[in-house]
Amino acid sequence: MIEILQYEFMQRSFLAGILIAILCSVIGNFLVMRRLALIGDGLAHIAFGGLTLGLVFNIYPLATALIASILSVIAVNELRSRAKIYGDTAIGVLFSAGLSIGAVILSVKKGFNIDVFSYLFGSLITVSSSDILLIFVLGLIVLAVIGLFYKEFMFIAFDEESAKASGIPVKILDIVLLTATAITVVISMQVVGILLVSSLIIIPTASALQFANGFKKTIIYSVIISVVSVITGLFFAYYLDIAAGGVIVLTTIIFFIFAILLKKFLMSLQRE
Amino acid sequence: MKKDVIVEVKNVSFNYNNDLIIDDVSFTINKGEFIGLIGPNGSGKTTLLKIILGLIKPRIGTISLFGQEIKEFSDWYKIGYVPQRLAIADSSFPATVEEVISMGRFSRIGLFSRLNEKDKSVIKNTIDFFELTALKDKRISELSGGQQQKVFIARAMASEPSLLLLDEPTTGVDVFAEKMFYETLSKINKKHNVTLVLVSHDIGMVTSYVSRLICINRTIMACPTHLHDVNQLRDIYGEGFKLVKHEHEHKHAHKGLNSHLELHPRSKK
Repeated sequence: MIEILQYEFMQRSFLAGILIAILCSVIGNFLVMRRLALIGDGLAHIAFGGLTLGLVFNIYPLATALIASILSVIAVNELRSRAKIYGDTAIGVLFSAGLSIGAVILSVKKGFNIDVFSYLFGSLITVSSSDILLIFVLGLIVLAVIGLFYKEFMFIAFDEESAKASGIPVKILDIVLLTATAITVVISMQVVGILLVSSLIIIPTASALQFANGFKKTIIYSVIISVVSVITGLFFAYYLDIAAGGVIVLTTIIFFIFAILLKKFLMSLQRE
Repeated sequence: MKKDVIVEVKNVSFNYNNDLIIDDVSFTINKGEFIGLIGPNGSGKTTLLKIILGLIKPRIGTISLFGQEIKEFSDWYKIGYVPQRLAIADSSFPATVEEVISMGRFSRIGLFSRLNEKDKSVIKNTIDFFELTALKDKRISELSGGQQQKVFIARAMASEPSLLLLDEPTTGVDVFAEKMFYETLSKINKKHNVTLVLVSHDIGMVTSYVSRLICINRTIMACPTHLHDVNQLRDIYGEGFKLVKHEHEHKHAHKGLNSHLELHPRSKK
């Protein structure tokens, strides 16, 4: 066995990382095509508020982060439908609320800065066995839900009005998709970090879109890009002792640049 | 309700804020008809179509579909919908032609189910009928406007509907593709016995193919079986247009009009 996999915490990180890579890229395809790419970022900042509350009150921080982000999905939906506020504005308000709650708590209660830093940028050492269990249970539930409603999510992403006209319950499925996103964001925080989780949602999809032909193929290519990026990131993070999240996202950006160049090359070949 | 009435619109009115968009509209659509729903821009055609589809609730009035009040109606697979192409054309969406046409089948199979062999066979036959076999693995965004429109009709037909509603489907489509498109609609109406409702302001083309016109400008202005009186159209569109009526025997008209009308903006003097 290679050295890196001799350590239990690295085995846990690889397992969690690969599942998170699959989750973020799969869900990213539906969010990017629905022009909701930045919702992951909004939910991550809301989760940050929940996380600090958990640290202060000595409650499992991932649980409070999860509750905060799921409640915000419900709040966004209510603000959109009852108060007639645009979805991105509603997310903006809650995003600011989550971040400011976190900032106030951190300035009042000192001593959490190291814990918070590991959540902001991702830290492999902090992934415990109970975290792994939570990541796997919730991650598999999210994947099962996406599999169950794959065809409806694709139809809504392509043409929401026609999906509604054909009797698909678009509003309910929107809440399902956003709740799945909230769960994905929270369980990804420890590996890629709050500030970088949306990159793992957006960039693999953006890269796959450059050359994939077909929605299903775009999902498959984005998953491959995401998993390779996470594995590469974890290796570099271990051997160079740097933040895993940063290396993972930088790897996805290299893929993105390569995908754009590949697309240009293929188009020039077609012209000839 | 008569057995062959599949859409009944009764005293429907709709407001958007304080603007009255539709005012006390009533009409019926019978099985097998090819209806042209015409009117000037902003006359409420699209709104009326969306009310029939249940996408918008009317302020007052009732809609019945296949003999059932819209509140109780759940067989949405019986209704195919082709929205304005420009409203859905997204150049970055990666779906292939086959994937887009498959979407039309989803209403027939319902939630939690996957496409079975029969569904796949219907999708294949639909692709063949619309002569899209060579394009089925291409990205929808790589197709021309006319080809995309064909795909959207094929998608609507994949649920094997009894009623097909089309909202200004030829917007942004060139004249040649437009003619082909109307030929296809005529074939769907006759061969597959699908009732069609076509929203358009292209009176010239529409009058050549439809079996009945419903003319609307906020309220029903005319609902003729055969539109003989050009003055009715002048009432709807106002004095800013001149009407040219062409008398001819049209080989494609299905129990329909033997003349077609063209509406031209009056040149400013």
